[in-house]
Amino acid sequence: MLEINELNKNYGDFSLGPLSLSVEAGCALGLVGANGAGKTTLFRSLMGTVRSDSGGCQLNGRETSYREASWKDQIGYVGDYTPFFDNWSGAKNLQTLAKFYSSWSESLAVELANRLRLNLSQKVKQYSTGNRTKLAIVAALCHQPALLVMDEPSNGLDPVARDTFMEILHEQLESGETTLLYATHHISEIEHLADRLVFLSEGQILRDELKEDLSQSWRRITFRSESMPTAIPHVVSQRGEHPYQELISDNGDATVAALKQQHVENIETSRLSIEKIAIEILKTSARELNHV
Amino acid sequence: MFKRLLVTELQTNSKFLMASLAINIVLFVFLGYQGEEPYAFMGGSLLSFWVLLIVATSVSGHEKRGRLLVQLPVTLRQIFAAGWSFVLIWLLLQILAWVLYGFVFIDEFTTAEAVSVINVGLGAAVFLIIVAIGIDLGAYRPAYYQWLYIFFAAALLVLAISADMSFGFIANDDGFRFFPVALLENLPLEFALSAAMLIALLAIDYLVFQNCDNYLE
Amino acid sequence: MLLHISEQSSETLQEQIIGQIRGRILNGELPPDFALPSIRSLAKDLRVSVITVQRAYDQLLNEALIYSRRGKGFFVATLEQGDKSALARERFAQQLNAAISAAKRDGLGDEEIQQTFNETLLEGDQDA
Repeated sequence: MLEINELNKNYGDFSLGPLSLSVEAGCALGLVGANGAGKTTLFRSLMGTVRSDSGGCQLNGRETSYREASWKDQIGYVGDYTPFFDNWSGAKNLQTLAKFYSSWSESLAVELANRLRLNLSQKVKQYSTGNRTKLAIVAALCHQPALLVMDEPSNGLDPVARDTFMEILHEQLESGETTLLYATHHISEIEHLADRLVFLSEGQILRDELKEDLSQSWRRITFRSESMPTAIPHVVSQRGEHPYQELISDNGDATVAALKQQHVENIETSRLSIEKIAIEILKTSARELNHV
Repeated sequence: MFKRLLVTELQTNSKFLMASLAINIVLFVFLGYQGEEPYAFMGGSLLSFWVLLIVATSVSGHEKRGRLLVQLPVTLRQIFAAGWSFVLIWLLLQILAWVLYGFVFIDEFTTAEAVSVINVGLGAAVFLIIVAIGIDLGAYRPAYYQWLYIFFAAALLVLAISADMSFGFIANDDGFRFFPVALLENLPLEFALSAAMLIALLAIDYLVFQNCDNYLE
Repeated sequence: MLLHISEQSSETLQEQIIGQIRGRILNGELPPDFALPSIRSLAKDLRVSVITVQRAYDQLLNEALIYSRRGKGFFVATLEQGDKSALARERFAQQLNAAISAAKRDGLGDEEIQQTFNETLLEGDQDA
């Protein structure tokens, strides 16, 4: 269980929060936001490398303080940047990291490396970006952490490795004890994995929704009408090409009911993919910001 | 965990430690055989230390390694302590070699001369930390913190040189001690002040390091 | 449990899971009191999110096709043969409704629709 309480961090021209978020154990949470939305700052606060100005995080009841370290035993982190001891082999890197954890599993390391087709005897210096990412994934999982923090983790992975990686994440979630935070620009990556999606913009939470609620309620609605009817609720965006009109609604039922009241004809509705919904949400936020 | 970090530091830098050992042995034997003063040995030995340290920190990626270490269950304090412990242990080994050189090759090598040699080492450590503070300030935004610091450090250096104090890489009779302290002409006091300055500067560097919020930038 | 999950289907993943488990219960493939896989293990096997399977099971619980026992998991409910065929017919009527409205939109009349239905059913029997 991860609790973020009123977390606030100010840089010169950027501020994160105050942001509160509670993620129960076993949840897979996708964090979506444009560049500079605050994902990385949030993750660094979680990792204790950035100190918040106020507020804080608790992981399974323990404060993630920078003065303490043992709580990091519970976190596995993969970032878009993967630092390692470049002059050492993958195996030697893992051996060194292993000594810092109480519950490191050597056999799991070998198994994961095999499944990801990572050659551990090669020097990290000679690794491609994809191989560095694979090593970071292995390193993040071998101590069996309660919280996985993934910041654009699939950097440089080929399609097969990406698929294996997803399979591994699904397995991690099976026990119901591992919590996953996964930040990405590519929503399709987490479309099947995430239970919950949190949209971040300008350091604030824009929306926090269960994935099934999104696909249940969002609809694309087309109908015939001379002009766009007014005062239709829940419309996120609209366009028209006479005599057809199209709306995107974040509550399809309510929108359709309102349209029917205005005696609009030929109403057709269809679902939207999670990716499309996410893009609409982020586009709306960008429009609102431009208005201000 | 501190011990693990220190062992990791030693492992990652083992090549440089071996190179340093080899250079010191060669200088020790070669200069000793020629009957040179301890300061000649110190000069060469210290130069090799600087060069190897610079290469070691750039090759093994000090900053990059920092990012790896912060993910581990260790505190920033432990990372800081392990990094400095490694460098200071390395420097301490150098100082011991200098003192040993004096006792082996100089007929009347007095305690006072030994303390003087140690003071040179302390001066080197102080210089090292002054540089490190400047580097660590690089993570701070806005960037003028670092420039301000470099400006003041350079001004102090100019002051020291203009006051006719040697402050260079090659140590000599009164070289490489920390500048105002060397004027005291009192070795124990100089030792105490240099040591105090070392500790104070380490504390300052710790504060700077620990507040590097942009550390992972 | 291996279900047939398609990315290209017009149905959502949740609907596909509901539909296929429902189908297997109604056609008797899954017998009464059969233990369904746990939500998390089915999510892992199908590689969908936990919430998707959870919602699918909730729906099946609502339809009284399955029941849950605290700490034990989910089981197939006992259904009378009559209930089963009533449910199946209800489902079929829903699907037919969608097809009929589509046919009407394309300009087919009631008689044409009925004729097409009969022909298609006959062809299907011959294929089988």
